[in-house]
Amino acid sequence: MSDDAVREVASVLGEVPMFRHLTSGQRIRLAGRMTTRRYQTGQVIVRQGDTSVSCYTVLRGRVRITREFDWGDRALIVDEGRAFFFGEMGLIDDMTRSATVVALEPTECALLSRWDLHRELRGDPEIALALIPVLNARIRELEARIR
Amino acid sequence: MSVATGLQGLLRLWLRHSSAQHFDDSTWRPEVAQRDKLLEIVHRNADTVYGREHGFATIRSIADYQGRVPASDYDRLSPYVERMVRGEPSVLTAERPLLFATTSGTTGRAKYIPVTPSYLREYSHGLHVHSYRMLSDIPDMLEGRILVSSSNDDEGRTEAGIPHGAISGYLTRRQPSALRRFYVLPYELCRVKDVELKYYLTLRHALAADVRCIVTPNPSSLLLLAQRMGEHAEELIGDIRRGGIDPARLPEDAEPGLVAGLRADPQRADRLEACLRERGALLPRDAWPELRMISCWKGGTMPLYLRGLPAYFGDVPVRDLGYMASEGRGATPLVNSGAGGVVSITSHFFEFVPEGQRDDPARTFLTCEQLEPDCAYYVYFTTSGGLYRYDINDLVRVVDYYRHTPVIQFVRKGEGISSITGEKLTESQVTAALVEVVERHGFEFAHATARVEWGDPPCYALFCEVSSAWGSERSRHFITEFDRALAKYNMEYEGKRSSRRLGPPALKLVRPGSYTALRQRRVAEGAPEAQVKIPHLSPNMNFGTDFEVVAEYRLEAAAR
Repeated sequence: MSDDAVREVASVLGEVPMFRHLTSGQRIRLAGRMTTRRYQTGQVIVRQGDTSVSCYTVLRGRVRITREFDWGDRALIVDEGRAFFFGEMGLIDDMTRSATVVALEPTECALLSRWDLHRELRGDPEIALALIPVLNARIRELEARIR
Repeated sequence: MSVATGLQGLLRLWLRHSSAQHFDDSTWRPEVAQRDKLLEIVHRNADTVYGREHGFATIRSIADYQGRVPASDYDRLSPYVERMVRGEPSVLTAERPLLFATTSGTTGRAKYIPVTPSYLREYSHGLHVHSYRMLSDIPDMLEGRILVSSSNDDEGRTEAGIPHGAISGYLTRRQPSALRRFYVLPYELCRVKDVELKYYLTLRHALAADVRCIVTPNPSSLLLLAQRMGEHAEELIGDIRRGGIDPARLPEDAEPGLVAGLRADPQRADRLEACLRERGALLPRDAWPELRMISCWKGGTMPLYLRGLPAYFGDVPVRDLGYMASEGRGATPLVNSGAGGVVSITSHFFEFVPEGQRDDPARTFLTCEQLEPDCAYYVYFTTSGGLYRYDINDLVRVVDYYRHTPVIQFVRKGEGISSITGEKLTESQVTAALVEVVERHGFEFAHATARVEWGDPPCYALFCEVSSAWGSERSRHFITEFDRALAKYNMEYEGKRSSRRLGPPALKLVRPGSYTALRQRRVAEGAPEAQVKIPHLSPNMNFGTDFEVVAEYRLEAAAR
């Protein structure tokens, strides 16, 4: 990514609750470890049950998150847009994707791999400390939505 | 720090510097890694028969290569391979093959894949990346032993005296002795043809040890291993107590290496006996409480077997072994979740054709950085083993990305499609239907295979091996739900069934042990035991004709 692109990604990271409390320098460094990818309307970004290697931040566009249950029912969890962050749970517990995410319009995401996230966490434990309460909140929020 | 932990640290360091770091760095720019790999392969082989015919010497880019070299399959390359088999040098590869890897028995007739020193390095490179990640994730793996199954690398010799067999056996045999001591099975075991004896010997060696990791391609082999552990528990414990193995089990010409190191270990025997008494059965989860990971295939038809593992092995993490074949290593799994692996961009050169374009003369060949998420592609390998734009007949799907490099998952073999009336039923749909019936309705069976049965109208017959008789009502319930699930996963199937162009499926329950006998026959025909795949959908109209069908159930035509 060019320096401008890195700054743009870092700016969106500043809107993500998970990264909001990081310093500008920390966000720039994290953005430097990311790659970006564009999706057409209707394209599946990640599919429930698949291998989970990267987490995603929506830079522009809108996405729909759905979840299929064992008994065959499908639930719409939510529609989200810019600065929506997803896929982080699988990076922590090494489980498959828990939901399917589809682009509702032309969408661009920034991807961060589990090992690049781990490198940042090892290199800067303050990032890890900043993430713990946000991850905790995410778990509670997801549980509440499913109920 | 123990000696084993220290050695594991050194091994990790070596794997990182020899392979893993290069692979990891390349994931930022896969197009560069792939171009470099391609040019390395074609320039090394420029002065070969195939290289001269296709102008390898003047290839400077991927576009040059695609413009000059046609896509090929084994039939197209086989005249060149046959010349190599006869000993002619510099036909497909400048290097002489060390071995011909045979893929007979998995699909179709025997194929000979040249294994050159460079190809072996490419293959091992992927293996090293995989091993590096496993050793990083399991810091105490070498505190115990590793159970790695391998197949015979010396099934015979070509007329030029070059061995042919399985690449896994070759790699095991060439393993440095410092590493081999961590392998619980002796190399000689890969030569045992009798499947039952092979499982017994595997258990005899492995039950005496603290096994930390199991690496075997097929999860159905793990289920068989666990079942044989239960069946032979007392004899195995007796052998461990006394040392050696009951001589009656061994053929007269058994290689001494098969029983080398099988010392008497009464303490271990006591522990295993206590497990047996406590639970009433000997299970891998009790015998190997420190087992940290299983690595086996998880894609394609494997989920049906994987779901049986926890009952025997507990909640041990299962990591995919990687999308690989004798022809090459396509992807390297780096995590436990799912069945995906990162495309092996530093091993071979890959091209991909979108699923719907395979038979289109104007098909588009894509390189890995061009792949789209959640789309399925046929894979074409170019390797240092003399395969150039080789159609391996595998369909893969993109499931994620590691930086700019796709993470792919094996879906099915290309020929795993059956279409009598245009329903285009795929093996993965049959697998999905079987998984659904099992999970929703609690059926248990060991193996199942569907194939076409001609009639008026034709239908699908499902051969199924169950451990205890189901009875008429349960059997009819099973085949009814299987029919429903197939219709759910394949709209055309539902249409053809509704219009009665396809008849209701038939369930054929076969005698227990039928599939083990099938496995034994395939091994006798030359297939590596660990690689024998039981299809869930067979294109072979004769599949199952040598099974003994103990009960057969057919739904009435109007049953749906």
